[in-house]
Amino acid sequence: MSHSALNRIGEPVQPNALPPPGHVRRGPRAWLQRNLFSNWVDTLVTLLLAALVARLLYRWVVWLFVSGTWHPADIRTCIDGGGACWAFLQDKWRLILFGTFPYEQQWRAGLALVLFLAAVVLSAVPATWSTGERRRWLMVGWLVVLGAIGVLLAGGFGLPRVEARFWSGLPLTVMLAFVGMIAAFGLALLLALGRRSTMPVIRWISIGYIELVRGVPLISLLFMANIMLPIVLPRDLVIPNLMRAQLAFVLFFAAYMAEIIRGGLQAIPLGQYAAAKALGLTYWQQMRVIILPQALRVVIPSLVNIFIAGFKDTSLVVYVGMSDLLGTAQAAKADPKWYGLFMEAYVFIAAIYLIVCATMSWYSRYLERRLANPERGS
Amino acid sequence: MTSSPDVTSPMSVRVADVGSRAPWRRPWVRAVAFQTLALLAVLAVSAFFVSNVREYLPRAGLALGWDFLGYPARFEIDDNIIGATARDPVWKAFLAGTVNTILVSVTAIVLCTILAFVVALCRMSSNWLLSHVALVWIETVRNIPLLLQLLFWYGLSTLFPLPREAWQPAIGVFVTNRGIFYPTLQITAAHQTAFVVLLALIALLVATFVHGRRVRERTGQPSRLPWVALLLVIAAPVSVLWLGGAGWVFDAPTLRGFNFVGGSTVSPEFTAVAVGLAVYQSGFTAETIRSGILGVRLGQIEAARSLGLKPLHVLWLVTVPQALRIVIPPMTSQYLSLTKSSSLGVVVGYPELMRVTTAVISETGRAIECIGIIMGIYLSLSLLTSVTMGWYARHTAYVDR
Repeated sequence: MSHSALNRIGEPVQPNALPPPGHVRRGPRAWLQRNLFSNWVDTLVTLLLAALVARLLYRWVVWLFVSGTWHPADIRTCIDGGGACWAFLQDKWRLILFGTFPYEQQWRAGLALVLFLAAVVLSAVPATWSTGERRRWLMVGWLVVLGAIGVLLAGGFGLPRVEARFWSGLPLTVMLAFVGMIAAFGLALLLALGRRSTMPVIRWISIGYIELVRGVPLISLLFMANIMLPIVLPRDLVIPNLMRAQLAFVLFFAAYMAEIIRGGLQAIPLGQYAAAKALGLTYWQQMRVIILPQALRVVIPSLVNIFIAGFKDTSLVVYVGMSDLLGTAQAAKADPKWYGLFMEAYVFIAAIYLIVCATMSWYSRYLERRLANPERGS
Repeated sequence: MTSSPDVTSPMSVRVADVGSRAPWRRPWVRAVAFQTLALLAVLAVSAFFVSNVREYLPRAGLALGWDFLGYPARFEIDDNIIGATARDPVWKAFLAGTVNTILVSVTAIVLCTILAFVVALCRMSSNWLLSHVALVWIETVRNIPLLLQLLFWYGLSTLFPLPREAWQPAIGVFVTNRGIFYPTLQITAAHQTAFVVLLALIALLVATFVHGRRVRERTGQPSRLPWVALLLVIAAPVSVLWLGGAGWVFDAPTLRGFNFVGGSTVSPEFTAVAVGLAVYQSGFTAETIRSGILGVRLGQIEAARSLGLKPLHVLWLVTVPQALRIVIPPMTSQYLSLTKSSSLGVVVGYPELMRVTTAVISETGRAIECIGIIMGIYLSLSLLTSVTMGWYARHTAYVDR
């Protein structure tokens, strides 16, 4: 074991980890030796860990497939069988995904989800927003898709009406997150500009709002929206549950987004502000044409991270009595017929959250790399 | 709508003011008008809210005031160390909730720090398997909603054995689905005195460390004073215990009927919240720690190495102290967000601040005051943290020599 060099956490850097030019060893054997068996400690760690991982994977596979029950003779053997009770998911998957949406109409909620997913995937490809004309088409496409989703969920054009209080499950989660983030972004732009304003009243209002909201937990805002709004608004103005929760989300995430956008604004060199001003542009022109396009580009990865946080935090609406994806999973496991099961429902929705969030965070890293090499970007 | 921020060069101001513009085009006129409008808008919205509240209160048979804090709470808090009961006043219930919030947060922070440090080191290992196991851990725990994780841990705790078949990891400690039971020492006056002596001596020890460091910085010689103090810290309380004739009588949990009595309990709710918070946050904190360690320049490590320090010493004496300076500010805000997230304990039934507040509101109907109280408590926790963080950042700012 050589002691010539160490990495930052004090592990010796193997001489073969940094081979001299011209002596690069290739092939799977060299890779294995370099990354898994470089010395005896390394080998020991690898072997122990491999045994542990294999054991865990084995247990999971056994739980899921070997002792998992697909077609139970009766429900108790499925629940007490010691493995995953797939019959439970077979019975409940539509309840978990679509909740209280009318059963015969659930294809509509499903189609709305698919449409939304397609639109998101399409807009995630940089080629779709590389030129001004394409961006305009993208906007038009989004308006069409959102209109279609609205019709699918609410009804009209020959489809029976479904009231908003029946929207639940995954569509509700996606809607709370998406609408919440878009609206919060608008508010956040104003707050961020306000916080950097030279006008003291505007600045203090923005600072006060941002710090106040960031100082309290989201659940207390949801709670407040639920019981305070009816008190501070006139008696005859009744805001539905869904709107109140949505409002709390917007108000909460706007404060966090504003701080991120402010970071972007601060990263713009002062010369850009001066140059924009020297061109004789008004304040809003300076912001729209010169400052914000640059500032927002810097903070796109952080904004995606806030998106992820928002998507996860929609689960808090369970507390104010709404059934998003987590709420419907709770409802599914509360069925006395399946009493005692919780792992199946939780693992199912955890997988959904995990896939969505991991994809977003992968995309954020991809954008970050892309933005770091501007010559390859648009 | 005036000039853009940060670039009010004297030149532009003079041009703008002297020019033969109409008054409403002058920047300062616009600024005053715009700000007056904004202020009026905020005031108008507030007045609207207040007038609606004025109308609401008599309708609901309520009045604003803090008198309800003195009324009996009329609900039990199952899990509190200050011993608040249903007959105690409401303010004591709030105090119990705050203590619980702090207790569960501190426990989670300690667990999270240990976990995150280990995960970060694993993530940076040159062993491919180890670093990828750490990666899977990080990606999994931070991409699943915290609330789902709390419910998961809470669900797991119901799978623990019944009290009759309790699992006994150590003598006198019982793990059951009703919580973890462990024995406690019966406290006597001698124990209390020893504890006070111990606290005083620890303060002394810290003082000698500070003094020792000054001496070392001035003379280059290590001070021997801390070792003397350390000896005192161990010896003095022990002799107080011995001379005071303190007994070693333990109150051990025993199975009576369907549950354990005696000793102390860690409730399943507390365990679920503390473990859930720590696991969830460990994914974020591990990445912060990793970026802090990566921020230490390799030259520092090479220099330490060439001084002949051993690998563990390099990590502990060179890498960690420098990484800490980078890591502490983001980590503080992560811990603050953990503390705020402990309010999710309300969903699994842990009696922290949020749950106590909902209970008080359903007992008294005083929604406005109660929301004011929790907002105030969370805000002051945040403010305290950011003030401390600012002080720390100034204290440890890098001095280029």
